[in-house]
Amino acid sequence: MRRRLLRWAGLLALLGAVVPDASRPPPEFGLITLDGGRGIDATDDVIWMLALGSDARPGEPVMRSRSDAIQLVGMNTVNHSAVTIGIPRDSYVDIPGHGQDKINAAMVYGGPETTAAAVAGLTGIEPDYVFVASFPGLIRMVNGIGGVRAEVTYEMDDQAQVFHPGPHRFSGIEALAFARIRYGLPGGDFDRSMDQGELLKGGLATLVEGLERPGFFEAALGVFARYTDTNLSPVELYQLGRTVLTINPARVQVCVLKGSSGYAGQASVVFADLVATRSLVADVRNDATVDQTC
Amino acid sequence: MSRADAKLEVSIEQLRGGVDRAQRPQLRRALSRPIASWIDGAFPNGGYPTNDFAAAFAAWTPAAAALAREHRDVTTNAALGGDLTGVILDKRSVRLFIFATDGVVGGATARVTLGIAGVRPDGSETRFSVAGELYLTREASQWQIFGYDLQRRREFP
Repeated sequence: MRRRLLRWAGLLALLGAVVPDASRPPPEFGLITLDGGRGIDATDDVIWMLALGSDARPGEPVMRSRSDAIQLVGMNTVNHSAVTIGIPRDSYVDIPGHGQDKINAAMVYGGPETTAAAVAGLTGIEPDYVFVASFPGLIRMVNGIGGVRAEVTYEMDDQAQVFHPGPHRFSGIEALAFARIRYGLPGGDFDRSMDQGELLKGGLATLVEGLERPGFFEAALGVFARYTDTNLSPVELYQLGRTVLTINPARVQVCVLKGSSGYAGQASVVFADLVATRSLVADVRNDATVDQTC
Repeated sequence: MSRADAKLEVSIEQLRGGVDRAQRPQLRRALSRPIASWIDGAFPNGGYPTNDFAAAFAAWTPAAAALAREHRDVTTNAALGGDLTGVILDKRSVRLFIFATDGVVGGATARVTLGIAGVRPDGSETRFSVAGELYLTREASQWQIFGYDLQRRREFP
């Protein structure tokens, strides 16, 4: 809106410079943008949120099932950048109180809090918020905001869904498939984790675009609240939602923790590259902004 | 000034989330208070010339007020206040979009449009508008402005 007005103002100035006064009537109306200002009272300069996708099947408890997607998201409320750090679900880590296991088992052992503790043990970052979505919840949320755009990097085919490389607008059911498919991806779980980050970035972009429509934010937050089990009050939910949507989607960097595949006993697992993990965390911990590559 | 400010018109455009319709008038009044406080403090009708708009942010959260002071040319009449003898608000329109869940109100967006005429010492007027959004939330039943996205535009002739 503002950009369009500025362009118009620029066009008027240009016409004024090249068109003789006699050839145009005196202006009767005009409108120029003088100035704009935007700000929000965020609780912190940097907010860390752990976004978990629960693979609970019908009848299973969402908060006590394995986490199929694990994304640690840092948001800088001052410079409006963000980073998503995907953690492969098979990462073999220490789960506080439960010994070594795949990180996706942490939620079964002790719920989202235990997953957050395991993530903190691996990365050194303690999330301020933990968000858990079920499969139907993700589908409803994506459909509720009219779909989500994301880039498909590799040809994906799990028989039920086929995605070709390039930009794609995902419906809820497609978004779930995109977040879950790993067969055919050269990097396997690492690429899948990258796709989940891209989906979060695309979701943010869709939400930010929607802000142009009066009432969109309140309606979208209403859908979110209806399908979310949260201990945040409606006031906290509103403030957090408004704060999250100050993030500029173009300034979201999607990262995935590096690691290598191996075995722990009979189980196929991922061993995190701890040197690379520490390096990335040192880069983003205080400002949620990637200065190096990730 | 012989002309009076236009009446502040506040309407609830969207209210979902299980809030009883009977609460609407009270909610409208409660949300109107901090917005009216900002408008009256930021674009006062009298007392010009002045650059003192300290009263504008009495109903803002401290952090939001600090940010808004940095944008005072937009969030108040600071850009022109020293050169005017009076100000008339001939449009004061507020549309409210309210978020609630399980019958509890959590926050609201106020889409604000102000039409403003500033009177210069020679009697001529300079017209501008301030429009955009205010974000409101509450502590107990006390509503506060905690964010904003505003544009100020000059209108001519």
